[in-house]
Amino acid sequence: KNTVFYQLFIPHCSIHLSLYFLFTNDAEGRLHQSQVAVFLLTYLGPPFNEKDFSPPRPNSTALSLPSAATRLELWHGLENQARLAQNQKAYSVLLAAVRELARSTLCPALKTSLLHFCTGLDGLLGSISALMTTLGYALPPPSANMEMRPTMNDFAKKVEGFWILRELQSWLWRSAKDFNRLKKRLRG
Amino acid sequence: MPRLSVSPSSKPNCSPVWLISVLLGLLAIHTNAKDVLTVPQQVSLSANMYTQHLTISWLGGAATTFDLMILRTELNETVFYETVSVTMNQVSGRHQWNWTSVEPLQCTSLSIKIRSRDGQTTSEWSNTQILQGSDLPSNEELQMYPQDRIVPVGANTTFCCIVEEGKLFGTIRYGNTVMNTTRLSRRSFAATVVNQELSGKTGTNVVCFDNPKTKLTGAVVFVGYPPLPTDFVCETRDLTSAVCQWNEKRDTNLYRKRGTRYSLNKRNCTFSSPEEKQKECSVAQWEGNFTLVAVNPLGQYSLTDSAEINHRVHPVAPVNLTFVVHAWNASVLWQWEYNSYSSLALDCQVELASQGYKTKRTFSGVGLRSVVLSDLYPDEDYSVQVCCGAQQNFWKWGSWSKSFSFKTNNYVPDAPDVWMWMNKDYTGQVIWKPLTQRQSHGLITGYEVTLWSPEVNFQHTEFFSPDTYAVPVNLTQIATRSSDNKVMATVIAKNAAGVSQPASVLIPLRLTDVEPLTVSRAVYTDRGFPLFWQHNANDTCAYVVEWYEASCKWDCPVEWIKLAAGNTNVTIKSANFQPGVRYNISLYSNSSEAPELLQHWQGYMQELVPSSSVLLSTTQQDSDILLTWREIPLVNRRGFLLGYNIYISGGSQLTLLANLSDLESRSYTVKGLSQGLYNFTVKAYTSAGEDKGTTASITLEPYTDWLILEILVSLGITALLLAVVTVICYKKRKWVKKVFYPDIPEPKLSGDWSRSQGPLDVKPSPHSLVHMVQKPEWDSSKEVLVVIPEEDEDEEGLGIGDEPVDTDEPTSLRYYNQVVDERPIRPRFPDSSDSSASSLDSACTDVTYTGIQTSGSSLVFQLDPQGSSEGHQSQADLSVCGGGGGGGGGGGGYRPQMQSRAPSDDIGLASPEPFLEPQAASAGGYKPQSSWHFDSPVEAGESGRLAPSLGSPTSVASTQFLLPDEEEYAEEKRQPSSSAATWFTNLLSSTKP
Repeated sequence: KNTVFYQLFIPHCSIHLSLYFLFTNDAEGRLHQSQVAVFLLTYLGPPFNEKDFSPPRPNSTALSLPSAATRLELWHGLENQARLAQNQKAYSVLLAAVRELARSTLCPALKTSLLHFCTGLDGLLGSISALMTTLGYALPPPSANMEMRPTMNDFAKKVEGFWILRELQSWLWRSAKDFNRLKKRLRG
Repeated sequence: MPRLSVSPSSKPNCSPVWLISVLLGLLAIHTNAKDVLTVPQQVSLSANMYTQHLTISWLGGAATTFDLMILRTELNETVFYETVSVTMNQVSGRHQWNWTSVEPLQCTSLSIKIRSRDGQTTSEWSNTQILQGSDLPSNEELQMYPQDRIVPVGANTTFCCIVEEGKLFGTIRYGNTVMNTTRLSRRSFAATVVNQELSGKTGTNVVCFDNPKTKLTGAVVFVGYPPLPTDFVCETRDLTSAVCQWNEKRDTNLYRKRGTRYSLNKRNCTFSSPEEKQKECSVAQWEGNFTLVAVNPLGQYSLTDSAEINHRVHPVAPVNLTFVVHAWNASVLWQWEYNSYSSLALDCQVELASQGYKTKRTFSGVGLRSVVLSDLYPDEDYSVQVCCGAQQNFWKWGSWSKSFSFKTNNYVPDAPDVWMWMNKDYTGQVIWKPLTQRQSHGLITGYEVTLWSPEVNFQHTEFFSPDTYAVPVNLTQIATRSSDNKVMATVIAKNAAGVSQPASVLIPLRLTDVEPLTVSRAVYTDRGFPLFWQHNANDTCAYVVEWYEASCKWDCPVEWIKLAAGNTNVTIKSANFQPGVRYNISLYSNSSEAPELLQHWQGYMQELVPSSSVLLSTTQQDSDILLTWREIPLVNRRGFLLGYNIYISGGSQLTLLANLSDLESRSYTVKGLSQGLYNFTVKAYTSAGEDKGTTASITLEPYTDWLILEILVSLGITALLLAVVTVICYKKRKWVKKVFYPDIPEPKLSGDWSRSQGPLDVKPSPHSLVHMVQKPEWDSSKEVLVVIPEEDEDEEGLGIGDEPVDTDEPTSLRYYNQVVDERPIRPRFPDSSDSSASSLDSACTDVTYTGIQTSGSSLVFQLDPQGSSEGHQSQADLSVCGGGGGGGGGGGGYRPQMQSRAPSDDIGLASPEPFLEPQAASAGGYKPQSSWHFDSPVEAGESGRLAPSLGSPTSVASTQFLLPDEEEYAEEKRQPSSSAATWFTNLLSSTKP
């Protein structure tokens, strides 16, 4: 197994972007969930930690973020600004969601892991914001605070946690591609 | 339905009026009953979805008994059908009845109808009321009930899943278990979990899948316990408020919003750390009676406690400890956090720790705030802790204060313990024991030693460093001038606080060489040497007991102990006592006069056997043998000698000749021995046993003095006889001549004999033989003692014993014969002298070994490269013998260690090694591990095959390498991947730019 991680150094603005994925890939290139993901899913209990388990994605506030799964032609057509703005928006929503996950967890070790992860996400978000500022792009308006969340049942909360993790994985994966593309364009 | 019945009468005229009246009466009664059993009206339903309670109320008139029927509306299945007694609510005039459903009320619609009952009579059913479920077609979603249920351990819960409109039901899973389901309606399916076990912290997931698994929904159920607090007790710390404590005896398995909430006297308690089992809650005022109520979703539990405030005082810890320190005592002062303590009668414990020991002292007082600690030692570190409890109605000791430390002040040192050692002349030592920390009362800065003799007006003072404990003295000068017998030595110790009292010892000048009256033995017990002595009633002097190693003669390291007057016994102990060392122990009087030796002991801590033996010499005295030996030096005795044992040794055996218990006689005469060689051994013994002994040899020779005389006398007589004979012969020589040598007439020849020319045939006379007769000089030679060498006997024995078993194989040639032996292998019996040879026979080594040595044959193979492999083969064949089970090239058996060399590029080089090399490799010959090198690039191709043998010991019996290289390499390769598993914690922190 090797950890998939991504580092991007954009020379003319001296900004270092680092991504660490929530999953690792094995020798055959198959992706596996990382320890923190496995930890969280085990904490949620079966069947959340089962391989083929996929509950429907809830439309909750915590998941009101741009989809990482943009269609290829649309994705190709994205401008730098739009690309970065989507990243910024996604991570600001996800960071809040992971913080909430950490807050609500009863397991101290998992809480520590998640908060540690939040530190990493916070750094990434800061990097993206700094990059946007350097490139002269306007930062997207901060997303609305978590307004009074509708009372969700416990199962729905677990499904939301599951999806926060999944969205995070998708976004980290997409960001790697986004930053690669960005690097090429900035060099060009 | 009441009916009018008219029974046929055979006697129509027989009182028909009476019959009609009876029938009418019955009819009237029946009609009246029909009026009472009204059909229940206005049936209304009220459902509590969480508790699954259904409250049914209706107007039932005067009836008190009703039939209730509850059906699942869709499938028309009866869920409940019972006759119940319900009384009318006087206020509302309605009847009401509660029913608890096993299934959640949302699962499916329920139809409820009621009728009145009076005995066997019932009213009509009321209108059916329907409680709508969530499986109505208008609600198309996939749903699961109940949600967020909290149940106690062991409960049974029924879950239902309402599948999406138009979809098929799949399964319901409770955790990992697939449940059996029953159908409640077209879309609703139920599963019951029985005897539920504790759930995880996040509850147990109940998940419903449709078929095929396209969608899912679920619910979480928390299984736990109702609260169970114990050990509830309230006390006061500040004498005003109450602090109550209790424990959670059992983990409820419910947390956060589902966790237990506590209230104390109806005031909610909050906790800083909810995870802790020990809980604490405060009330601002002491109320006397306390009630704790613990509530969680599964139940509640109450505990009470009541007490007066002054029975529950648990004092706080004293704060701000300060000290006023002196040399021998110190005052400890502290403060109380609350002013109310000033009027509280307190008992306080002061824990005093010093040099690893802790002592507790107790003090009492109202509002106690200071104590004086007496009996302390100067210049010592102390640490102090204080805790207090109420004097009246003691409840418990309060909290300990923090530990504070102080050091007592210095004080003048104690006087040192002084003694002296005098040698046989006027030199000696003044010695004193080092002051312990508790005696020095501060850092010793030095010692002052004064020698003075008042009579000769002599005084001499000298200063010494703090590490001096012995001062040499020479009193020769004083001794010559003084008529007095003694000189006073005074020692004063100094530290920063001052000087000690002087400690004196009187040194006697008139030394008496006489040993004391008797030397007693002191016997060591496990505790030391116990000593006893007589006490003179008029003796008021104190005593000194000193001891030292008996072997010491000069400036001995003496130890001593001083005893007060009146003592008659002491047990002396020392860490310096060693086994096998003799100690002189002396008892002196210790008074104003010079010390006087009163008693003397000697003893061993443990007696050992002497470490050396006597020095033995043997001499022959006439026909006896005298053994004499010297004393063993004192140091080597290592115990009190008890005597000597004299042994005579015959062969390896010692025979005791005598046991001498008289230590003074160190000689022994052995009598009655015949001539020959004798070995004598003398061993000294102590209570621990004999020493190794000394052996001396002597050859007992004949007593030769008389023999020499005999020889001389016989020689003299012989000489005399010869002289007499000579004289007689001389005197009578003419007679002798006439008798023994008469004149022989001169032969005369008749003729000329001298001219005869023929050869003279001389033949020896057959009688002219010479007989040599040797006559011994004296026959007594038979009596001469001949020294027989000791070995004679042994040599003979060995000569017989060493006869080779296999006489046709001389030992000297045996090995070589084995090497070139071509005889068929004969079975041999195991023989110790022959075993190595036979093992060589059976192994394959021998021929191979000769093959290595004879390089000529290898040379032949080398010249023919084509045949080299064959040659090698034949070589290998040679090496393979039929021995044992070692088949083929594996060979088995030991091979001489070979230095492997990388095969040279130059094949033509006349060397047998290249051909032997593969053989050695295949046969698994032992090689030194580090000497295997692949220097040649030619061999690089083969390294793939041979590489595993690098640095690996190879088994002789197989080609398996004992250290599999590849696996190890694989392990190394795997190493980073395993470390990658912990990537998250390691790397994430560095995401921050």
